[in-house]
Amino acid sequence: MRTHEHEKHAVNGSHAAMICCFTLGTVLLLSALFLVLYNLHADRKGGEEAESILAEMKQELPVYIPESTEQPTGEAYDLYAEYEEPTIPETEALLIGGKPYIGYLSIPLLGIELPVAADWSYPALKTSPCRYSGGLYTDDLIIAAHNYATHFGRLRELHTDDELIFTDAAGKPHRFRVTSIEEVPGTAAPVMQSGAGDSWDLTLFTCTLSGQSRVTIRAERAEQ
Amino acid sequence: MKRQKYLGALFCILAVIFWCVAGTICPVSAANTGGSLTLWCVKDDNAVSKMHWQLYRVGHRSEKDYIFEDGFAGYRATLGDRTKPMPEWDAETLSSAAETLKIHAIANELPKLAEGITDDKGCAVFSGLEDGLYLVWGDILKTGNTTYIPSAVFFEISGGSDAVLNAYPKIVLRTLKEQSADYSVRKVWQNDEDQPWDRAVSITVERYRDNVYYDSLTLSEENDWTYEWEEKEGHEWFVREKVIPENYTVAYKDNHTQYLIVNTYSPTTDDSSRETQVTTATTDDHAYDTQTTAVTDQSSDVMTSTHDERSTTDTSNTVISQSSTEQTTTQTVTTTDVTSKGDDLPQTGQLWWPVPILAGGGLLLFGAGLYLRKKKDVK
Repeated sequence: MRTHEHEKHAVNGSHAAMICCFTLGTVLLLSALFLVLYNLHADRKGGEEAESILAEMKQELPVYIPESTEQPTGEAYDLYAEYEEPTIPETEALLIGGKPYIGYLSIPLLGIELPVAADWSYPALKTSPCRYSGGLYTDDLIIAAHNYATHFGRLRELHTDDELIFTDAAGKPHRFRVTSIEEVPGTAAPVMQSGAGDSWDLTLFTCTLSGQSRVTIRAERAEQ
Repeated sequence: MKRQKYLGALFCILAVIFWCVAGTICPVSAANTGGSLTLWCVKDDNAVSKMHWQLYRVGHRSEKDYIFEDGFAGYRATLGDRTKPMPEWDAETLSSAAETLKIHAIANELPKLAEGITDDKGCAVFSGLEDGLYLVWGDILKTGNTTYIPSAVFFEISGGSDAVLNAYPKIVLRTLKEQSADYSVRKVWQNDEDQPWDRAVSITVERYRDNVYYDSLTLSEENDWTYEWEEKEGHEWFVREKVIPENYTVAYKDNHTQYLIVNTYSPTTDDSSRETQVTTATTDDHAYDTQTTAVTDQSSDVMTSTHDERSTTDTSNTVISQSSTEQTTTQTVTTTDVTSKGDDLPQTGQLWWPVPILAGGGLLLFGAGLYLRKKKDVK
């Protein structure tokens, strides 16, 4: 009689554990599925919004007319101009949907063109790449973006000497060549900014899949 | 005997005639041995005559450096690559160095080595120049309302008497107007973005009018390192930094209304204490192929040099230290350690890492559930 009861208890316990395993397993699998769907949705949405902003930006951008490279002649030219603090056209950002954008970045190898917001914030990063720090005319511009496949998710596919083009808010294209691809720890902002103007003129970065480091592309200005 | 006297007299007359004719070709200054510099002052195909020029010896060049001497010793002018001969510098650097040395020479009333005046062909010759570095600059020439403003020329004689240089100083022609003009001086810091704490808080600038000291003023952050004044045209100005900040060199540039002082960060090293050296040099001559070098600037000096032999100089230096009696106040800027931690970069990654963990965990639990169910069925 006692043995029978003991067996009955064991069967009940085993049954409860089985139910628990099935329930928890289902919950975990559904969570994983939900996360995947959410990420794919965010990726697609980020790409669509960036595309929409870019289309509007291209309509707003003035037609760029290259400046004359002729030396000043005749009357005295402005001697101080060369030493003026650079007037930064990128601060004359274009307002798209009430938000300032400093231009757009083209990566021909990856076939992507993305608008770049003037300042970074987490909500802004969901829509487009953002200026993390620096400026185009001071050769220390750093652009951050999510690792969406439609944003900077494919940065690793770039190689040395690949071309990057940044078109500023005045419509002027600035050409760069990739000089290095590196990983910078997520806790090392000073490392990200070091070497500006000397070893690089433009930096792009995004998170690795683990989120612990940043895939970092360094580029130098190329002949215009 | 009488015939010999006639011949002697004839010879003297011929010599005098020859000397006079030779003198009309180009007025010659200094001795007749050593290298020579011929200045050709021409503006728009017209020779500029009666322009007064003065020559200074600045120093000499060793294989790796430019070594200033006497009144120029210790002067920290911004030069081009000091390991290379001047023709390898860019025209703007060369021109700026010449103007900077000129200002130093005028302000300190340094002794001239020679003087010369251009003839009807706009020509003046300085000969008998030993190997070394020289500066030559001309006075502004006024003719009615027109002024001819010559650029200074910084050059090197190398190769003894075989060194024959021709220089074509840039000459700016200006027509003076009755109204007054706006003048300004600005000071800029260069190449010190990583060491801004070495900058002086303020500097004293001396103004010179027509090569005579006029007054002093102070430039600082407060006035944006700029000073402006208004004055009737007709005077020529230049400015001079009274004390060159420690670890900087200086260059002056101007366009006759704007005067720029450029301090370039150039920290003193053991090697660069060269500027306070007085040197005794021994020279070994080495033969070189005949060569012609030319420096051409679209708007500036053109100098050609032709010589069959060039000398290289082995230099033994006697160092005499100098100390400035005037101090420059420097500001202290605290810096942050660029490798310090705690500066996180923004999270630009999507939340992918939990996906395999959740999926793996879910599958494991599902598998465990299936196992328990099978076990139960068996029982």
